[in-house]
Amino acid sequence: MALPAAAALQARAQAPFPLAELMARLAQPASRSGSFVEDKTIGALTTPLQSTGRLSYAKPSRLEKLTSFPQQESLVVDGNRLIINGGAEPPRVVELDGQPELRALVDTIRGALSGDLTLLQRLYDVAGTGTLADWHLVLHPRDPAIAKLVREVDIDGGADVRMIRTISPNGDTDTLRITPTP
Amino acid sequence: MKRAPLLLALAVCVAITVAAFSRVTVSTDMAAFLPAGRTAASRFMLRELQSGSVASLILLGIEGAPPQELARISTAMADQLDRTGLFAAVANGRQGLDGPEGRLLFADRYLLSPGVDAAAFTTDALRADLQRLLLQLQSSASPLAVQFGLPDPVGAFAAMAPAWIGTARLRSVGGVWFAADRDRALLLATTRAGGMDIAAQDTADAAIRQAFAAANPGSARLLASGPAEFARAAAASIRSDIRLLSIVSGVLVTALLLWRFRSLTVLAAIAVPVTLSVAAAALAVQAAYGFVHGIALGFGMTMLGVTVDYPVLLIGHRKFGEPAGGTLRRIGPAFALAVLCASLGLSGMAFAGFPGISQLGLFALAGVVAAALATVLLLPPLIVRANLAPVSAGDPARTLRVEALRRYRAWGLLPVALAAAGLLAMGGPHWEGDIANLSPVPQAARDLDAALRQEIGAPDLGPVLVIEGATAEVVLARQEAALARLGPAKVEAAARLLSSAAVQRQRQADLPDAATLHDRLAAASAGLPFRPDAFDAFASAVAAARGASPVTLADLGDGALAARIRPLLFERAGRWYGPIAGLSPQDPARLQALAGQDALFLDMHAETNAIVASGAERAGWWLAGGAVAAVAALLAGLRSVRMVGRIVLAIGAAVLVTVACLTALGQRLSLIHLVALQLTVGVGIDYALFYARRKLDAEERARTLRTLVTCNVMTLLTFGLLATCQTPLLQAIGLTVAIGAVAAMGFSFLFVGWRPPAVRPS
Repeated sequence: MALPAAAALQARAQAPFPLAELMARLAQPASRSGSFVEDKTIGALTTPLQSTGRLSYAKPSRLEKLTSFPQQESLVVDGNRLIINGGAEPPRVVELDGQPELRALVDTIRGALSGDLTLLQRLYDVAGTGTLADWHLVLHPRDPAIAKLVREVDIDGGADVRMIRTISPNGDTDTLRITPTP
Repeated sequence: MKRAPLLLALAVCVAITVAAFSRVTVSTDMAAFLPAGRTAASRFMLRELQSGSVASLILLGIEGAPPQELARISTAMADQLDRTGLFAAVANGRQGLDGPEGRLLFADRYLLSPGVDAAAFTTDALRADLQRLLLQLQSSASPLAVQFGLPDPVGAFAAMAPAWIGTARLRSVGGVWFAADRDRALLLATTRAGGMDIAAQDTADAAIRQAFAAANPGSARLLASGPAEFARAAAASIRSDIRLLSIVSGVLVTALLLWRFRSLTVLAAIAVPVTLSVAAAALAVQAAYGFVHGIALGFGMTMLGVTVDYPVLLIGHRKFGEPAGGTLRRIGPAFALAVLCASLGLSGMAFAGFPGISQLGLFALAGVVAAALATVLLLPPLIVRANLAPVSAGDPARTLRVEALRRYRAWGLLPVALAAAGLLAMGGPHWEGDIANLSPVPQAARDLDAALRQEIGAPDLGPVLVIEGATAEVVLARQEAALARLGPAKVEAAARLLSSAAVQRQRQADLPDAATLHDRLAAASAGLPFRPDAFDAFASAVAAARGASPVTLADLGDGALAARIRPLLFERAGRWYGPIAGLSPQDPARLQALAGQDALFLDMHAETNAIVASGAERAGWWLAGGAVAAVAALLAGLRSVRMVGRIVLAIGAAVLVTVACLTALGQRLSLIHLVALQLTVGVGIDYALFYARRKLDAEERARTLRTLVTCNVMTLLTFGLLATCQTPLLQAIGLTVAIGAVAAMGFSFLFVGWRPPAVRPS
């Protein structure tokens, strides 16, 4: 019993992870949406901070993150423009062209949700493990400027993206768990 | 071969002129055109205009390519320009407040921030800050909250950063400045050399263009505006206007002279004194001032049209085959007196104490004298050798029939009366008070400068309150007092960036000691999930600020921070100055209310115009003095009060009619018109003196009449065309001289010339 399992494991290790195929699958739906739970562990804090809300993506480049707890916040990216509306203050509009680091963070999420391998590989060295039904990607920044903000990004999923975790150089983590809604 | 010496002489003259012009520096700085100020305010302003940070600023725009590409070019250019060492600062937004400069400010936040006071450090205030920080950590802005919020929960840095960034009007693309409403990357370069140093400005400009070319601009275009750019634009526009007009008027004048003299060689002879006069004029001004102002240059080039008269007078009066001395003997006295009167009038200008007018006066004086000397000394042997003279004049009697008109010369007073009445009805001549309207810089270049300035938010000449003191520290303290009285106005001032030592010490006194801060933080974070060491960086920054000595101007280094504050706090001749500029329209009045000891309110625009007005008045008196001297010379030369009276009547009538015509045409009279009138008077005196010669035979009178008409038509052709050109300066000169010369010709002919006896009916 043990032998075939070991052989299968070995075969999996030898066969390169089908990254392109995974991304092509992820790229198929024109839009996807789901609810999210975000946990942040910050070195200065004793407890993780949790927030929840809805996340949606529509081709080619629109991303919406609407946080409903603990405070209302909407973050909308459309093309090159990022609009953050924190409620009390007037919305902040950021042109991503002027903010390469911020753009990289936005494109990490956009790239994962849209299955845009080219975009991800421009920013990161991408390595994958697992199967197409249960996969795990590890991303390391290629650009030193981005490495100052992100040490590593982990992305898990099956048919859809289930989790995106960003690890800062100082060890702080930001984990976004997504439950797709049909 | 008899023409060889003449052609050789012309070749030498042209070579001299070309060599002279290659040594001339053109400036268009209006400050260089203005007289020294008589009030403290105007002296300060002129000094700043000439050498201040405003004068050494070059505004750059890059457009015509995709934004990313523009941003890349902007950064490449800025880096390259930094390496040249020619610039005190090159700013394009790439040095934000997150580089070393920003860390410097962040380190000193508890000394420099207006958000630091005792109230900000109470337990209650700290608790509110920590609760807000927690929400920020939970939001999408959490990376910023970790970077800036934890070491500075009271928000001291956030309270001071906007003033330092100070470029609210700009958009950022690819990390560099862009105009708010179009795809145009913007850079601001401050040269180490002063704005008046046109040679250094040229070097800087060449470095800019080289840096642009080195950045592989592709389809992108570079827009530049600065002192050197203005000088070049003015010189180029004057030259191109002159070139076009001189081709057209040159063809017409040549045709006229050919018709009159039927000889190409005459043209060469005429060109000898004319080219020499221009070279002498430019060199004289360059030697006296170290540069030639664009206005003087524009004027000087048009001098060509007037000095042509001298050789024409000489050749036009020569009898065929006459030896060299003969012609000069006949016209010498009138010619010498005409040159003397013109020179006296112009020397009034040269000594008027108004640098621009002095340059014009010197330019014209040198030109007139050189042309006259060349005509008298060089030309006669050359003419005789080439045997130049007008073709046979035909029957003098036919030409002289026109003299019969002088029997009705009383009628000539009618247009004079009409002009006087018309001028009265129009409320006198209208004066131009705004010197900007005289600028030789083309409107397009001035528009570009205004657009770039507006987009980048660069300092402009507007109303400011200048605070003065013995040291930077005194100026900062006085600014703080003034700003406190001003209330919460949006102003640009050094004290908004760098507080005085006294204020910094007050902030130090307001900061809690380490134990107190520790206790308060512990109380404030009760029930909140902060670790005990979460605010260590904050506590140590507060402790460091308590023990630090106040931040001074020198501590800000010589990079972007210094470039930001230097225009707002600077030393001139041992005194320190700090302008406070209002940013909203109602500020000027409120700033003016604060003027007093050591606080000078300056409205740059109004001040410039006031200087022009007072300078123009003085220049006017000097011009009048020159006119009196010319009249005295006429009296001495002609020894006839009657004759001088006639000449003054003729010239005065011409001036009156010219001013009336200009006013009727809607021209606002400026210094330039005054100077052009002076030139007209010089030309008119030529005419009058030649008509004033008595006891001449009919043949000589016919020669004079034909020669003067030739001169007059030449002047009309040249200056009449000038009146149609785009540069306002040249247009004003053209219109004034064209009208004035025709009027002077008419009135001199009528009032000064010999009146033939009435023909008795047989």
